[in-house]
Amino acid sequence: MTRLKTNMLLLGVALAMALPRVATAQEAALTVINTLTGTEVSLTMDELNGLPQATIHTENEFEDEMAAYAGPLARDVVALVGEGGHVAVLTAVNDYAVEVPLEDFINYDVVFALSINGDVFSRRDRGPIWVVYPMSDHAELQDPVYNARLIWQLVKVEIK
Amino acid sequence: MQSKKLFSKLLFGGVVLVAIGIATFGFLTFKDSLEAMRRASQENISWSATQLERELTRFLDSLGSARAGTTSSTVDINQRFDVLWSRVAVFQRGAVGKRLRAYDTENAVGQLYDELKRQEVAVVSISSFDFSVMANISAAFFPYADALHELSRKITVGEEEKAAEIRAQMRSSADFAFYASILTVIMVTGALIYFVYEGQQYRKLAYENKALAEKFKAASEVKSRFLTMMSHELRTPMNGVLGLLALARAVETDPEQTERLAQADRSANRMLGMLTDILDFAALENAELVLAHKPFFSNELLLALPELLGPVALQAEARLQVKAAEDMPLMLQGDPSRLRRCYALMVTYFLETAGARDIGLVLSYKSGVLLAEIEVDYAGGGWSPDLIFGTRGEHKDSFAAAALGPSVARALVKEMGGEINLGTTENGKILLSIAVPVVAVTPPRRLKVLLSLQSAPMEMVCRSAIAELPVEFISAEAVGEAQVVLLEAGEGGVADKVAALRAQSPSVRVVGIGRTENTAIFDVVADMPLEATQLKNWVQEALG
Repeated sequence: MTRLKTNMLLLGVALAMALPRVATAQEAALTVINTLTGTEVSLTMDELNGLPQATIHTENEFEDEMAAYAGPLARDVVALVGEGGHVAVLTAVNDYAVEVPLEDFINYDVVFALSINGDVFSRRDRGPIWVVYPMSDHAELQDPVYNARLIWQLVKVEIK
Repeated sequence: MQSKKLFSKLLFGGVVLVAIGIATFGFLTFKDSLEAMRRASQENISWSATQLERELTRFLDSLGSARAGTTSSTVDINQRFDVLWSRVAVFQRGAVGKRLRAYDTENAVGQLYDELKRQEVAVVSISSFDFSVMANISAAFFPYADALHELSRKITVGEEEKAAEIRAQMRSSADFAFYASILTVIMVTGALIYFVYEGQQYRKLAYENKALAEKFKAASEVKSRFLTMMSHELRTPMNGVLGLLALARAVETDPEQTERLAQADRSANRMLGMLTDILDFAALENAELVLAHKPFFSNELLLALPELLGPVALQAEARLQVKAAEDMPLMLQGDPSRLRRCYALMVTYFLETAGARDIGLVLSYKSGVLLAEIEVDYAGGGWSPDLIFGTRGEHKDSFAAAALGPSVARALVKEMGGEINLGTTENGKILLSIAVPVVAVTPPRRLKVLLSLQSAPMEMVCRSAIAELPVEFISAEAVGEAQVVLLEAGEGGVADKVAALRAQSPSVRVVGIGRTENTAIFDVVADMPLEATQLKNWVQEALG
C-alpha cells in the first residue's frame, strides 16, 4: 500500500514537473535528494501543496501557544526519492543543517509545515517550510534533542 | 509504664514522620534540580543570539558584495534581509523569545526590528546598480552590529552563569541528600537502639512478671490444696458427728434433748454445706471443677429442691414453693447436681441472709436455656439485693461468710456458660433469674419398677436411691408389667413370691432388700445398711 502511494506521488510530481514553471510559485522551494540512489526531486510550493496534507496541533518552544501546523508529512516527502537510508540531513536557507533519523518520520507525524493556524509561512516568519514535531502528543519529544530538529526555512532534504 | 509506652509510640511516630519529611524534602530538591537541568538543556538561546548577529553580518556582506559588483544579487540581498527578519522574529514569540528578551535590556533587537521595517521598502525595491541606496542601507544597519555583539556576549555570559548556578544547586542538592541520608540513618539507628533497649526492658519485666505470676499461682495452688484437704478432713468427722446425732435422736425420748439434738444436727449440716462450698470454691479457683454432661430428669430438680430446702425454709419460718412450667422437657442433659446446688445456694442465701418470707422458684425451658426464676418477698432490713453480686460490703481483705454461697453459685453458673440477672417483679419483689444453657434430650425407655416393701421408710429410701434413673414406679396390680421388683428379702413366704413373679414374667429382675439366708432366689441382694449407689447401679443394669 505504501509502495503504491509512493508511486502515485512520484507520478504526480513528474506530471507537475513537466508543466511550464511560472514565477516564484513555480520555483523550487524544496530539494529532496536520496544520496544512496542518486534520485533528486525539486518541489515547488504548488507541488508541496499538491501532496496529501496533514495537520497537527502542538506547542513548542518557539510559539506562545498551541497552534495548528499544516503541510505534507515528512515521510510522504521523503518517499518521493525512494526507499533506503537511515538519516535525513535537513538544511535551512542560511545553510544551517541538522541530521535527523528517518525513524522519526516513521514513528511520528512530522510535518513539513507550510502554514500555521491557516496562515501561510513567509520566509520572514520561519517559512516557507518549517519542520514541526507533534510534541504535545508525545512527551518524549519535549526534549532539547527534538527542539534542535525544529528547523525552519527548510530548503533541502538529503537522505543518507 | 503507660507513659513509657506512649513515649515509645510518639518516638516511633516522630522518627517515621521526620524520615518521611527528610525524604520528601530531598525528593523535592532533587526534582527542582532536575527541572533546572531540563530548563538549562532546552533550546540554546546563545546560539539564537549568535545567529542573529551572524545574519546581520551576512546581510551587510551581501550589500557589500553587491556594491563591489561581485556575487551578490538583489535576490540575495532580499533573501538575507528576510532571514535576518526571521531571526529577529525569534525574539518576539515563544519561551525562547521570552528568555532572549530578558537579556535585551537595551532593546537592541527591538530597535533593529524597527530599522528592518523602516528599510523594508528600500530593500525590496533595490536595483542592482543602486549603490547609494545600498550604502545607505548598510549605514543604517551597521551600528547594530556592536549592539548585537554585546547582546550575544551578555546572553552567553548569562547562560554560563545560569549553568553555573544550576551546577551549584545540584551540588547543594547532592550534599543535602547526603547529609539527610546520614541524618536519617543516625535517627533510625538511634531509634532502633532505643527500641532494642526498650524491648530488653520489657522482656526482663515480662520475665519478672511471669516468675511473680508463677510464684502467686504456686501459692494459690498451695492454699487451694490446703483448703481442699482441710475441707475433706473436716467433712469426715462431721459426717461422723451427723451419724452420731442421728443415732442419739433415734433413741432420745426427752423432747428438750431432742430439740437440742435437732439444733445440733442443723448446725452440723450447715457446716457440712459450708465445707462443700469451700471445696467447690477451691476447685473453681484452680479451674479443676469438672462439670457433668449427663442426661437427667427435670423432675429430679423439682423433687430434690423442696426436700433439700424445706427444713431451711421451715427454720426461717418462710414459705417455699417450687414448680415447673407445663412445657418443661422430661429429660435434659447437663450437670444436675451443680444446677441443684446453684438453686439451693441462692435460695438458702435468701432464706438465711436476706430474711425472705416467701420464695417461689419456677423452672422453665426455652430455646436451649434452663431458666430458674426465683421470686423473693423479703423483709428488708440491712440487706439489699446488690449484695448477691458482692458489689457492696466486699473488700479485698475481707470476705463475708454469707457471701460464699452466692459467690459459689455465680462461679458455677458462669462455669456452665450461664448468667444470673437480678430484677424486680411488678409487685416489687426480687426476681433473680438463673439462665443456664442445657440441652433437651429424648428420654430413654422407662423401666417399670415395682416396690414391694413392708416398711414405708425403706420404700422411701429405695425410691430415692433410684429416682434419678428413668424409672416408672408401678402398683402391685400391674405386677405382670414389672421389669424390676424390689422385694423385702426377710419377709415370710418370700420364696413363693419370687417364684410367682418369675412365673408371671421370666425376665423380671428381682432385687432382695435386707438381710436373708436365702440369697439364691434373688438376682441380687442389697444387704443392710443399704448402699444407695450400689442399689441404683443394680437397677440401672436392667436398663441394659
